[in-house]
Amino acid sequence: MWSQGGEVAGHPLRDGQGGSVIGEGFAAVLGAAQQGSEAAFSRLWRDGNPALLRYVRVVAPEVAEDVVAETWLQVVRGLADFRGDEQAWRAWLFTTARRRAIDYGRRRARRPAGALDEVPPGLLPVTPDAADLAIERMGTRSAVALLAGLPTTQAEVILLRVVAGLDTETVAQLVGRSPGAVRVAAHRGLRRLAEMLAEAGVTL
Amino acid sequence: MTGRDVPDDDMPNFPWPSRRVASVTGDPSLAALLAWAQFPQNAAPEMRRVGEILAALTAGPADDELTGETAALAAYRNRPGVPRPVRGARRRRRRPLFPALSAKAAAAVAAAVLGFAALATAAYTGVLPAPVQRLAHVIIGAPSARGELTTGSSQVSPNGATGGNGASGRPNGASPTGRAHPSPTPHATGSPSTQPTPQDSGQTSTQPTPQDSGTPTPTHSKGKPTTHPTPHGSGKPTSHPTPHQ
Repeated sequence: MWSQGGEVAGHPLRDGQGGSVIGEGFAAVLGAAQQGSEAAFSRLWRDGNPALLRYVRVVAPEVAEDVVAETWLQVVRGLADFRGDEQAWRAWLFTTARRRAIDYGRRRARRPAGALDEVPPGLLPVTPDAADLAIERMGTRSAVALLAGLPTTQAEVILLRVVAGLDTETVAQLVGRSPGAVRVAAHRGLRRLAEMLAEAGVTL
Repeated sequence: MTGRDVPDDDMPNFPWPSRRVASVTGDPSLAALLAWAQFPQNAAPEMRRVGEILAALTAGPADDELTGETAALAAYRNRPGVPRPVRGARRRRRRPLFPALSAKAAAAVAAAVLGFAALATAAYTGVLPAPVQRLAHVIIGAPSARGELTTGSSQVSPNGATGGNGASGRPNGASPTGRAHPSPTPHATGSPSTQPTPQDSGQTSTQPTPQDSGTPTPTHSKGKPTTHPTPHGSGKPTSHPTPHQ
């Protein structure tokens, strides 16, 4: 995606590269899925599910799979009534996932939490080590884990901008903030990310 | 509002950018990272590493990221209010077939029942052509054909009613009242030979004995079947005829 000369190959949502964006054929694929084509829906799912998982693994890591599954159930129920382009489609997907994640968080907050010293050491969450990240050459899962170390708002805004491919205004509506606040959160998050990599001495 | 327990996220967003915000968003490399635009040549090395991380975030799907497709497709197939794909279409194709067959079968049965009822009515009123009437006579017991009433003047039906339920044709020897003249009953002498022998036509005939005068004389006129004619004229069959004399 990134060339050695420092040039960006291009945003996947704009040029259809990377296999994660449908591009110009989106309207036809969406229409076919709304008419009952399983192949068309499968294409929508394969395009959206990896990005959804990466996003939810940061904002709700413990229930990511459940949140994404419920997101698709809700999307399926409202698929026939959806109108919009690919940007609106992805905004709808991630808005639905975000609401499901919030619901899960509320449910979890109602349950009494046990003390950490009662949890066996093997079940405690492990923060990814920077050295491990370097060894793994920044695989997708490692990059998601690294972003999970950022403050939630910063990580979420970065993921929605980069992984979901949404513009600043759409992200602002999605998270309920102003576009300026979204820009600030994203830039702070990227700076923080750079500091984390520098502190760990990661060289790529 | 500004206490220690208030997180930064809950602080109000002011519409004008502060000096600090401007410094944060003023880095062109950060904006380029987020917009996937041309990356500045003078960007810091750590920003390039951040760019690598963002590239990893948008890499192709891993295997574990495509494991829920079956469940999603199942939910898609069972979604409400949307035309079903292949399997549902088969069901829809079959459903109208059975009601159509049932309607056809019901119509055929109704037509058959009505036709049979009309045929039976016509048969009992005797308006059918002779061959058909004969067939109805054999099958459902309708009156026999008219043509048969005018033939066999010396024959009497087993039930004694040669006219056949008041049919218009009057048999020979029958009274105008429709009463049939029974078969000639000889004054039997008690000999077994005086018993009548039923013919194939169902009509009875007598075998006069030598004591008979040779002229059959009707002994009763009620038209009752007399398998074993009795000289009493009671019309009741008896197994052994009792001679009068």
